[in-house]
Amino acid sequence: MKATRRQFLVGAGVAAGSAAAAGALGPLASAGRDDVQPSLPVDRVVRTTCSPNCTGSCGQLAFVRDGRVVKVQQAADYPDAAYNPRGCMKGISYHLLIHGPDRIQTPLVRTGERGSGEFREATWDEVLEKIAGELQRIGDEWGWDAVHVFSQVPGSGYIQKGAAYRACAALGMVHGTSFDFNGDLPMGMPITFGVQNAEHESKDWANSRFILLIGANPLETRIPDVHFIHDAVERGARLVVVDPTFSSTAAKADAWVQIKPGTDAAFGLALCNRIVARDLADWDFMRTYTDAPLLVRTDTGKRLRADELAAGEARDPGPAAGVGLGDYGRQAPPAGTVPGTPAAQSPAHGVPLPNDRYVAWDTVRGEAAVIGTERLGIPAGVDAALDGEYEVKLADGSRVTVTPGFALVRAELDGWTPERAAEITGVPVETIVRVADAFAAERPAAVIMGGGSNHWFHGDLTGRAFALLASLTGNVGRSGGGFSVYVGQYKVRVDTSPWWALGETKAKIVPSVYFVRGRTETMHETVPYPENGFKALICTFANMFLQAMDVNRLHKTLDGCELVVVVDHQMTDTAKWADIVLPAATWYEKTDLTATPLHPYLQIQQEAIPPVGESRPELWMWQEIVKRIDPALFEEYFDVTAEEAIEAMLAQGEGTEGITLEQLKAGPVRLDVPDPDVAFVRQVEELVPFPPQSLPAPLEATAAFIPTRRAEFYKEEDRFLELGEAVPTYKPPHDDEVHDPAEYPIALLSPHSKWRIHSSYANVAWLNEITGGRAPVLLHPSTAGERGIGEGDLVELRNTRGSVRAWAHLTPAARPGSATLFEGWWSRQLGGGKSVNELTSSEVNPIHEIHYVANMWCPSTGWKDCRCEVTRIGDGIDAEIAAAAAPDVAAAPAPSVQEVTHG
Amino acid sequence: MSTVVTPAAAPAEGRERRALRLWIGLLALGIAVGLGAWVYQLANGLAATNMRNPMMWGLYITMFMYFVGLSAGGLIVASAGRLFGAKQLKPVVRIAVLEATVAVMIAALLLLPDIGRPDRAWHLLRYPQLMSPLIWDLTIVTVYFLISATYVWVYTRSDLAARGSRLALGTGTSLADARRDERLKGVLAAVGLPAAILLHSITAWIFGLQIARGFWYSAIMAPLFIASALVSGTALMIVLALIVRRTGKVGFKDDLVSYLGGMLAVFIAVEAFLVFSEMLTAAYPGAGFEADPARRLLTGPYAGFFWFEVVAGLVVPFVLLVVKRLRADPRWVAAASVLAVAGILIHRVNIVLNGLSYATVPFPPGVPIGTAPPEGATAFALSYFYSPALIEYLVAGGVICFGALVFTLAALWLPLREGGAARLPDAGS
Amino acid sequence: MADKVSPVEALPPASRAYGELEQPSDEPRWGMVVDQERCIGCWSCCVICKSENDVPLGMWWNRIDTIGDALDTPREVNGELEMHWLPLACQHCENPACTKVCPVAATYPREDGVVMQDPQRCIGCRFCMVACPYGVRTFNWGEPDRPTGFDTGMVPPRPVGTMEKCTFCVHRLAEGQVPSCVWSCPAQARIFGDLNDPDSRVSRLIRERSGEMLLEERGTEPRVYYLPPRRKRGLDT
Ligand SMILES: Nc1nc2c(c(=O)[nH]1)N[C@H]1C(S)=C(S)[C@@H](COP(=O)(O)OP(=O)(O)OC[C@H]3O[C@@H](n4cnc5c(=O)[nH]c(N)nc54)[C@H](O)[C@@H]3O)O[C@H]1N2
Ligand SMILES: Nc1nc2c(c(=O)[nH]1)N[C@H]1C(S)=C(S)[C@@H](COP(=O)(O)OP(=O)(O)OC[C@H]3O[C@@H](n4cnc5c(=O)[nH]c(N)nc54)[C@H](O)[C@@H]3O)O[C@H]1N2
Ligand code: SF4
Ligand code: SF4
Ligand code: SF4
Ligand code: SF4
Ligand code: SF4
Ligand SMILES: [Mo]
Repeated sequence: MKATRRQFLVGAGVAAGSAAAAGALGPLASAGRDDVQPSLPVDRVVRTTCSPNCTGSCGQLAFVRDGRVVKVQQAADYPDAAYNPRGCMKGISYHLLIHGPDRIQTPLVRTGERGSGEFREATWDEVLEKIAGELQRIGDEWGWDAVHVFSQVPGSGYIQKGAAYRACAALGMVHGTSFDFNGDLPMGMPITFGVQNAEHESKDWANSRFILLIGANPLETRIPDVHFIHDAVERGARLVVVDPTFSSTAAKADAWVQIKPGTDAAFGLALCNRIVARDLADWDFMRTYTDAPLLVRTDTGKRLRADELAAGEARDPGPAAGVGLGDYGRQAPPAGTVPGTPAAQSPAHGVPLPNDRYVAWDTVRGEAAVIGTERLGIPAGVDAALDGEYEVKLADGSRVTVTPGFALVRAELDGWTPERAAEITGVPVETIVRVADAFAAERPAAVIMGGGSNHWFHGDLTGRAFALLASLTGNVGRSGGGFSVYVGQYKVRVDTSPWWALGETKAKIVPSVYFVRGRTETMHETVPYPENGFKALICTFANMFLQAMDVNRLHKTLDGCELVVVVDHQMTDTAKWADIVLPAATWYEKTDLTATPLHPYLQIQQEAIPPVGESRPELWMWQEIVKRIDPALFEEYFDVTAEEAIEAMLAQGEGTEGITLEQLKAGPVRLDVPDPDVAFVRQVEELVPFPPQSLPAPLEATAAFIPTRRAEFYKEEDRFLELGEAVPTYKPPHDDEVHDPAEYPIALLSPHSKWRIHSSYANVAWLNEITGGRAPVLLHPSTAGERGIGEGDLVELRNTRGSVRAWAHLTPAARPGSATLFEGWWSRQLGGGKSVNELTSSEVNPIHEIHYVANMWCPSTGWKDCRCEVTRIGDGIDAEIAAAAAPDVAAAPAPSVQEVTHG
Repeated sequence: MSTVVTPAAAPAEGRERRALRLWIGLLALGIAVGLGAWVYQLANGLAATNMRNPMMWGLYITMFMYFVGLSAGGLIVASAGRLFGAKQLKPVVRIAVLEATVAVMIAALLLLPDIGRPDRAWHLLRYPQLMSPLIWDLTIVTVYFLISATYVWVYTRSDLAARGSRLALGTGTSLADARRDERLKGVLAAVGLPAAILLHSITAWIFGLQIARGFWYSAIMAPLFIASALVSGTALMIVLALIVRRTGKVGFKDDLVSYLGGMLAVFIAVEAFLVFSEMLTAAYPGAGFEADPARRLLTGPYAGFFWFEVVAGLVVPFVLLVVKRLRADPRWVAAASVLAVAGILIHRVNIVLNGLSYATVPFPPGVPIGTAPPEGATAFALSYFYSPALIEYLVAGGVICFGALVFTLAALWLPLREGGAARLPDAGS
Repeated sequence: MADKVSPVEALPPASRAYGELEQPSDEPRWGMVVDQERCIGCWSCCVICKSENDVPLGMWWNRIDTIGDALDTPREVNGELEMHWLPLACQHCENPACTKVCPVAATYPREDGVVMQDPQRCIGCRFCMVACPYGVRTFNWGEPDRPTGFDTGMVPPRPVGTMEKCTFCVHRLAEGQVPSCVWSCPAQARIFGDLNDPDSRVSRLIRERSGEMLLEERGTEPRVYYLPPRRKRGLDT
């Protein structure tokens, strides 16, 4: 700190010098000056982690004075300086929520109608007794699985959120899902790569030469990371943004591609088409790592297995060559040896790893060659065909025509000329062609996909199209490239089993969409859906009734619930609907362990101040509830502190070797992952078969998604074949079938606002001073004009599912024919209606039900796949006054809504 | 008080007496209300006014400017009478200087409620920062007040002495005294005129030196202020003189009125010319630092004010005054004067509003208002429509009432009529 | 209550190191560089300013103007949509318009260039506000109003009826720490340092990326420099 001391002197000297400076003002003026005092003292400064459902997971310092947080500021203590300071305007205003007017300070018991927001304060004893009693009753009457525990993505708090999993495991309650529920699960990932999701750490963006952003708005939704894109641009990278609206990110782009909502797949396929047509594709990559060469039977559409063939029909060249084709797989172990696959042979899980043997066509010898799954690559001397049709003899002597998987993919691609895509996407042919050429011209080139493209019924097809683009250009598994989907803070980066499970007993998990809409015919048979349906909801770490899809339908389900408990620290719309509200401690008042997909640092939350009022950590709540239901159970499993739980997880290893709680108390600790942390790097460098494990699921569970153990662009499961989605293709938005575009001409987009994390921070006074705290609907002047809508007017957006009111903001940023109403506004900030989610759809894509692994192959929501009509209701000013005068009036559902829901 | 009132009030009829009582009562009431309002403002801070960051000066400063201007008439008339030997002005000189004294007093008082910390007003004496036009202005205001007060005294001294009032400060009514008065008047005139010029110039520079404010930042500000001071000062004096004449406190012939009317016409012409050339210079470029405010003034939300200033404040009165037949009639002159007084008031309003009511860095969301916005509104504004709060009217009104009261009492009780006491044969030449 | 400590002394070592001022010359003249290409219009710098300096509701010492039609709304410039952000706080002018007019020198230039604001001296005449070409001063019209209901931040609150503005976080400079907005800019778009040192980061950036002054023609000579946004490359290969 030598420098500091010296600078201190400089500062002091300056202070003294100021008298002289002021002297210039005249002798009298400079008299009696009191110059700078040092910063006001504090009790202490505590390092914790900001953990909304954000993915930032930013280290923050809490400055505590007189037992209250008087300032929050980024810790900026990441060993890798590139990550500093890390944190946004929301995180650093959190003390306004800790000590704000909406803070819930005591347990509350409902006195009025559900949703009336009328409560009385209660003691912990009373509410805990009540909850324990009710759960017991419901458990006895309907079965414990009638209790649905909904909690948001675990990444933001493995311990406090994990406590719910542990309680479910212990009591038999059903835990819900979040990643899929949030529409964040990019189904194209499990379908293609057999993983829940995979992405590069944000630092790696800086290594790109070309960044193609589709449906991602990092300037607003990755505030702590986006500077890595600036770094890339400063180093000469090109930034192209594909977005229907001129987002903040588009404002920084070299080129903004204004696409028609929901048509990204067509755009992606056209890019692939152009690259294949100009023969710019990296065929070595396709042969080494993907299912491109594997033969498919034209009669059944299934992949040809080696053991289907007549004896001697296929040559077995043995394990793949020492290296892949081209210069791929240089770090692979010598030929013959099988690279170790982490957790592959873990006995615990019954399911064996798929080890079918497949077949490729060797054009050198003009015969079939066996391709194993134990390692990636192609056997030495085999030149695997990617096109053509061949005849092979089966064991039963019959002959079938087979063709390489990629021939089928290509057949589809050939149809996706820029011309055809232009018609669908509204993007000029010229633009498509230039994007394709510019993209192909650079290595490494990164494709980054966001919620805007993923939050669609057919988002999986978009994902598959761009996964194909990244593979065709050999960008997968290399720093600065890759196909990354950044969405929610889903990622489980440590082995949580010692805390989430009781030994082998795990929590039963039912996708929460089935809580909202009940089971579907196509639901996967292994989903443990309760036979009596759901009778109770415990909602924690979530603002479900605002943020869930199709909320009017959700509210019907609620009517069937005998108990609704909401755990939160702000009086949200969801809390208002609860029977019992439990006051949660914030992440400045408790201990937890967090991680995020955006950076590989493990961090903890620490208690900067004691919980405000009567609020308590969730772990404590679950302990007290379990204690009251079954003391023995408590003794055995729940008499654990948060810190002990953290240490138990760290002890498991798997990237946490050598990390101690003490280190975490001091600051962030980088997980034991490659630097930079790049997806599929072991596959590409070491030829380890796909997929890498997706925690907390066992490898077998997700490996089953891609039996070839390669990146699969051809899917053979029946439903893919039935629905014509065996290869990447494009399908129009699903809601176009539900809502006739003629009647509902507006595409309603509800992306994420930079001013909030979903609904969190919507009530921060400082931020509302900037925005006004009233929900705007972004409309293009032409769209507004056709409807006689003027700037600031109160407008209603409606479809058959519901309606919502907000204030028109006319801007050229909006695409004609679409409207943008950012998600997360509280009902009191709307002009009427519960939430924009009155309009969104809960329909389930059957493709997402082919397999079932919670949060990994699971129904993913299509928030943006939503049509509506917009009409003018009244003048903005009046509405403003009304809203300001009587927030409740403004918040009450518009009459029309009842008609829709109960009619 | 009565002891003071008696001598002058003696001739007054009972009816007039009651009217007078009523008038004084009203002023007293106005003062009381004004004080109350000020106390309220002190308790709530300037948040009680409608001023905010985007419009940080309002009624108080406008009125300050305005009354500084009004105070001009006095010394102009008095000094002009001397220096340019306009004898016919003599009968109104005492009213003139009294008006000047009171007006500048009102101006000074109006600054108190405007500053956020009146309790720290003494800092102005303790820590004066000599680069600040405000410091110069306060100085000149004080000097000017002293000069005009002295004027009043010198002009009324001999009559006071004759009346044996203590205010004669022991001076007598001898010829020697009278001679000395004449010399003094000469001296006063010699310092008074430049003082007046300075007063208006420096007040002008408070605005004219502001590089931040297009439209203000121009060399014409000082001349313009002098011109408008001449207009408003003279006009107000005409009105007051006519009123006081009706109470029989002074006497002069109508041709004096039309003579003053003539002067006023000239002043108005000059003012009009300056306003025109200012607007032309500002508006000519068509856009930018100066043109934007100019455009706002000609067509913006405050355009009404500007056009009132031009038509009712300059054109109409000028016409009334140049037409010889109308000028001969005191009632027309009075009408013209009233319009001119009003016109200049609006002129002042325009200067302040137009200089301040928009963000100097014209990008959204604009400057923070300065007070917590109502639920659902932002805290920023690019431009801000200001109209004074009731509180501001009451406080300013109170101050003005106080001035009016001082003027009334002084008028009642100082010898305003020329030549009560010994006069020299060559007096007034 | 536990006895209190300096918030700087109490910082974790890594955080404290992050915030350290670049070694200044013996006679520093503090200045700031704002990179408009990097700025993402997030207002983090404004929020932390409010927090650090306990700036009441309705007031901002630091704000982000949108070069566009409205807040975060682009404008059309010959057929193309365009939007930038202009972070705006006191420019700590070399030739301040504000200090000249202050009748009591409650606002005054310090030797190191910081334009100071003395809340104990200020009489609340608002002349400085009239004079400032940048609209970055804000006045305490009423009793300061805070969402928490209690004083927060690291400096004492200013009394009603007085003027306030960005202080360049002098209290932090004296402790060898960068201003809070510089610390908290997630886009690393704000750089602070000694303009008198030709090798300081600010000096170099101003030279190499031709930093611009805001409203340069007013002659106030701001000591906050802006690095203008880059020209877009389009799709040409
Ligand atoms: N400030 C802030 N940051 C956040 C969050 C937040 O709520 N606030 N939430 C976090 C979470 S959980 C998530 S999931 C992410 C989501 O953040 P993002 O991945 O950025 O997703 P969105 O914000 O939903 O949409 C991004 C952009 O997609 C555009 N878009 C909409 N429809 C389409 C389309 O059909 N095609 C294309 N190409 N673009 C489209 C929208 O106009 C929008 O500009 O953000 C995370 N970060
Ligand atoms: N229309 C539309 N809807 C969407 C989306 C969209 O794009 N469009 N995006 C979807 C996506 S991607 C996501 S991820 C979801 C997010 O949905 P949610 O995660 O439900 O949204 P949040 O508003 O972040 O709700 C978090 C809640 O947790 C509370 N909370 C914070 N900290 C704690 C704590 O320590 N303990 C407890 N008990 N509670 C705490 C907060 O106060 C807040 O009420 O929204 C989805 N909804
Ligand atoms: S809200 Fe998100 S981005 Fe902002 S500080 Fe918290 S975690 Fe980081
Ligand atoms: S914090 Fe940085 S990026 Fe955000 S607005 Fe301020 S200067 Fe711009
Ligand atoms: S920006 Fe304004 S307030 Fe700051 S120093 Fe310059 S003139 Fe003064
Ligand atoms: S408001 Fe305060 S700082 Fe500004 S000029 Fe007046 S006294 Fe000086
Ligand atoms: S330097 Fe300090 S006072 Fe100035 S804007 Fe930045 S944070 Fe605010
Ligand atoms: Mo999400």
